[in-house]
Amino acid sequence: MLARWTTVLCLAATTACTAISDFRIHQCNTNADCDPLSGPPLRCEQAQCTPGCADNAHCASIDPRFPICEFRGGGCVALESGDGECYVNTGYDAVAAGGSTAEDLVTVGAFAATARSSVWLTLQLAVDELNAGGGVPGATGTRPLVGVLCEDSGLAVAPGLEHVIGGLGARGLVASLEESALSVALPSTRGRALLLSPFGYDTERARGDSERFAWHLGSGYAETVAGYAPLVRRAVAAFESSGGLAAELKLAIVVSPALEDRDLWAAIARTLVVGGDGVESLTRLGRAREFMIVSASPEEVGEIATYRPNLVLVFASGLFTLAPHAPRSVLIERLEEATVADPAWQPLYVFGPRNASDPTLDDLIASSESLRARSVGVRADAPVDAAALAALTARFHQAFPLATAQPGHPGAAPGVYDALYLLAYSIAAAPRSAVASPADVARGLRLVTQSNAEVVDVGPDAVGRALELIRQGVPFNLRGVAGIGEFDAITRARSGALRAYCWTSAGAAGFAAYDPGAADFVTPAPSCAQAFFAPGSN
Amino acid sequence: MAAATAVRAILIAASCWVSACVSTNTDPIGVRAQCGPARPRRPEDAIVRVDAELAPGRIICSGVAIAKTLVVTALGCVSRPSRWPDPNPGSDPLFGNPAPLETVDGTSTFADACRRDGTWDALEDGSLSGRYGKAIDATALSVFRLDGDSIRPVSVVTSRAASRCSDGVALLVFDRELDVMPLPVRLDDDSALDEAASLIGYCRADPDPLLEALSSSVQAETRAAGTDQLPPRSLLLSQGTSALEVGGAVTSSTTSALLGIMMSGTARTCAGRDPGGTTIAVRLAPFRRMLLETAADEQVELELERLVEPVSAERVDCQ
Repeated sequence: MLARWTTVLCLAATTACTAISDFRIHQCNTNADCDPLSGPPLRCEQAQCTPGCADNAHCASIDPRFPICEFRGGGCVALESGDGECYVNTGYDAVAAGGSTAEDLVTVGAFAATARSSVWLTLQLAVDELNAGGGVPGATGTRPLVGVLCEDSGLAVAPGLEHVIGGLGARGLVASLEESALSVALPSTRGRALLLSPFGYDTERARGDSERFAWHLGSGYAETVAGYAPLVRRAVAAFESSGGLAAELKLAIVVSPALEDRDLWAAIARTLVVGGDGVESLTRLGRAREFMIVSASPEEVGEIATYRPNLVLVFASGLFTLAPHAPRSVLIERLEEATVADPAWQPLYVFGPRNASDPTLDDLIASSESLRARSVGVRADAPVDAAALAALTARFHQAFPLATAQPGHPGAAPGVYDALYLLAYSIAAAPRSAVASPADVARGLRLVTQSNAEVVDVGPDAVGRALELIRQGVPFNLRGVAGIGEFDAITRARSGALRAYCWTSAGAAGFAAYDPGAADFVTPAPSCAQAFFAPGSN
Repeated sequence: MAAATAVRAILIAASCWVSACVSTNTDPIGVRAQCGPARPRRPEDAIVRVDAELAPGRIICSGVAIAKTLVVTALGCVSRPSRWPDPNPGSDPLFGNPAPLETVDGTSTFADACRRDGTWDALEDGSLSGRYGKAIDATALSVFRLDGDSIRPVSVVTSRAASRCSDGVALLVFDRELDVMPLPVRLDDDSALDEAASLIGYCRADPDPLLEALSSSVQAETRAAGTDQLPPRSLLLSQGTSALEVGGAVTSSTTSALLGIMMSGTARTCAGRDPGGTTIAVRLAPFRRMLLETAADEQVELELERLVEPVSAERVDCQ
């Protein structure tokens, strides 16, 4: 066989240098007979080499770097993007999916800081559970769920989105991107995928048409504004009662370049300066200074330390422009290091809603008794279901025993877990068509988060019931670890009760509900954040 | 088999065409290659040491020249992460550190450490995966010959494997010629099972570098699917090797052609290598596009395996 081919080809090659320029193989028995060694793939169809790939196995045989066939007749693409914006995947079984194309996969793009992050490991767990439950039913049968992880830093987002949406055909995205990154990247998706953020959103920003397919499990950040005045008032009372060093309020506002940080602070500043809600004007109480944190560099931290504030309002959640993969707690860690050299300086902290569910920050604060007493968080999203979280945590530990054995590993991310289940079920419940549009996925999302319908829990135990209802076309209401569905149709987000929370040695603990009538928080039960709620006790 | 035959025929035809049309600068498939000259080969003349400077620490591996300006090595040799601050979000900072990877370096096999649910996508339980992430920047890499100066590559091309448990190769591209005698490469996809092979890489780096060829044979091989013992697109070779030999060559004892790149080596010293042990190598043929396209981009010729004499009706030299 080889001798025959070789003889023919070599004869042609050695006798016709110019004619060889038109060298083509038209006759074939298998796809491999058509391998052109460079350029677009050719497949064997009716004994003719025809442009385009046949299936995933064909692409992998041509070049393992590009193992996914976009569609029969399409090009071969990689699960990872060329410049590494998208660099890890889960749920793709090259052997089982060899005869398929990208159209036979349900691909979800995820954006997170690192592959070892709580976000990604949680997403891996959810993908594994859903695939073990049979995958995602669709018009052409059950399809495996594939997760692709991309960097969440500003410049990487747009090419990452293009890769997962344009190259891999993802119709769902799980991301907790900053608004600035979203505002740049979302228009480029041109409504091709539905993005589901596990967190909240910038209420102040006009939500344009390009964000029509951006949904949030959390609430608008502005819903937390009312919580700041009573906390500042409590801090002032604490300073006054302690006298001496901290009698005067010196307020440090820490924001990142992200618009949502500055928007939120601007809204809060109006409530503090205007007064009338029990809080004196800052102009009389003391001084406030805003610090823009880009990378938590020693210079930036030193500037705050030099100012020596006694109350720090933290809005920068750590997705700093220049160091997006730094732990979100690095700024606080460095400020606390500065207090070691100056023990008389013990600043109080109020952490904003973008710091909520930040496992690294939770771990940092929980590990320090002093910091626990001086820290409080504000959020206004749905509270986590303790029993569901315990079950998720147990499964997470079982799935990733080595990761969770590492000191300080944050564990599972409830919002991410819920988001992946919501997306998978939404895609399954979307109106049946070969390729679901994001509008279809949004319709599916409403079907699986419908009020007054049967409540179905997230997690592997209820996958069968959820898929059964989807096959029957019966709506249900998915109850996540981080609350039940029911999105607001206008904001495409979920509101929750405003509350303050503190940290115990076991981690973050929600504890103080906001009483609008009293314009204050109800006194908390656990003994933490004493500086705010029991001054003098610590 | 038909596929492999066709590929081999195309490769040989391509090489014949280039040989026959030496004055032509372009070719129909964008590949410059030639049938190998009949001259004795010393695989050690193609081996280099590859150093990746991290902060802190460094990785030392072997590499194989397949052209004067192209060195191929194992992906893990150029892809491990640096430490905090971590610019490599895809990598695992614990990768290479002792605790979770005792199983890799200790008594357990590579398969035990890497296999998870029958796949080769992740290390151990998936949470400490040994993920590669992005390649280390070329400016942090150097290659050395036995007595030569170091030289830095200008770029790195990788096969994009996900973790150290996957198959993967990396190509280092240089802008000036190395003092090496490149090896011919086998790029067809025929079975190499039971074929006699040599394993060669640096088993000692400083202060007294040592290159040593070891006799071996191909005990098992995989295609697109991995097995309990092997990642996809790999060879299992008799003879244990050492950690520094990772990235070194697996060559055909018959033709000296490069069949694969070693990706596992468990011994810490030359003396510690187990003659009764095994070594896993990633096969080169599945990555032929990457090699040929990079060679075309760099306008260098790859020397394809030249069969000295026909060993069967299916092994015919085009000349």
